[in-house]
Amino acid sequence: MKAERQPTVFTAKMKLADVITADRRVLSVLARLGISLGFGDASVDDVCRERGLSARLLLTIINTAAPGGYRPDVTALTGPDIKRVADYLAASHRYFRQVMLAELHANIHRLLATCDERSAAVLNKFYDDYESEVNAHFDFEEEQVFPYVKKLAEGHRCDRAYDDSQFAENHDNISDALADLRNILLKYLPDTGAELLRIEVINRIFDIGEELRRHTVVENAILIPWVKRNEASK
Amino acid sequence: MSPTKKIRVIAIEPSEIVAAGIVHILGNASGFALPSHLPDATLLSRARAEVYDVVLLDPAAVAAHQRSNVRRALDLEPSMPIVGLLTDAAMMADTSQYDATVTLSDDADVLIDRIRSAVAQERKEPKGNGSRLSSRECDILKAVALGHTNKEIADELHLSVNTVVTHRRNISHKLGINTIPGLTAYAIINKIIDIDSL
Repeated sequence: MKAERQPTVFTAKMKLADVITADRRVLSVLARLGISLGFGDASVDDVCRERGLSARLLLTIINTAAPGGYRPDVTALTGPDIKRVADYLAASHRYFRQVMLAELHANIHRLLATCDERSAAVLNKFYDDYESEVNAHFDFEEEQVFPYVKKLAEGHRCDRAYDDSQFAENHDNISDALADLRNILLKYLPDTGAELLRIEVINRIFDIGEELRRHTVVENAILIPWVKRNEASK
Repeated sequence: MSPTKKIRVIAIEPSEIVAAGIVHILGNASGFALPSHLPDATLLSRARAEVYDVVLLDPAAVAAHQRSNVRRALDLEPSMPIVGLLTDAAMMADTSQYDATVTLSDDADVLIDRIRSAVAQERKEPKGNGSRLSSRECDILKAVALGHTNKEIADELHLSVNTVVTHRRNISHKLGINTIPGLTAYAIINKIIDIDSL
């Protein structure tokens, strides 16, 4: 996703509208944090103060999610901040399930209805298995990881019921499978006469891949390190 | 290629007279190492990039039923240039699979130039970028798609597990496909395996 690289680190003094112009994917971050649009030329700081959100938290999320390898300082994040991060991630799951994957699901099955029987059979199955894997991973996070993180953020001590390696492996599988699907549709599926739909599907897969990357990096660089640090300090 | 590095040719040519001519011409040409020679394609174990820079192939040295895809018949890497030495008029119809071709009526200089240009052409292209799999890689892809483990594939094909792992890595790199379901889908779409065999 080299095209979306930008070297800047966003700061509290910048106008929020300028931040979005520089990185349009910040838009969906705002929606998931409950910040509605129409904030005029207000700075990140002002918008956050008005909506009762920590500007430090918003900046940590958008800078970490942007391409460029920004390393967040998790020691600066409080328990309430981390609860917000968990809520943000859960909202991002809802968006994936209800909007992005739902749309891709419909379009991909429409596209595959235009191709030969054997390709359609194998790719329908490939996609459905992919979707099940994503849903299972989201369920796992929502049922086990986020509740645990929230308890920890509230200062409770409890036993962790999941393993970090399971987490990383799930993330790798999900992003590899999506990249495979994209390459197959891009490079190997013979022309089916539905070129525009195919382009639309490939574009959506690129979008979902980038959104998933951003989602995963927030988990890996903010949530998990914060949890580890706070587990150790108890 | 650095100007000091000599081009290493493996000539696969059944005629001893023609082969002696090639060895003589290339052995005396500047910028060429003394070429190696094999009379029959089946004697070629692996024409590896470490050993040779280019294969000079007379298709007459390949079994007739494999001539339509000599790269696969010889199990050559996609990056290995092949110069066709077309000794028989019947072979001249199918030149698309060669990086360059020469015939027995060409001058010695033409032979030298065509080999040089085939090698130079190859250098410009990034390696491992083509999606053409070697026949060995196709065998491994088939087995992967059928759900066999690395150990099973190694036993079936008489290879070490390490070699299987290397082939799998190369296949994924060439195709841009990393997961087993993705490789299976590729194999079915490209008719490398049948969907009913799963």
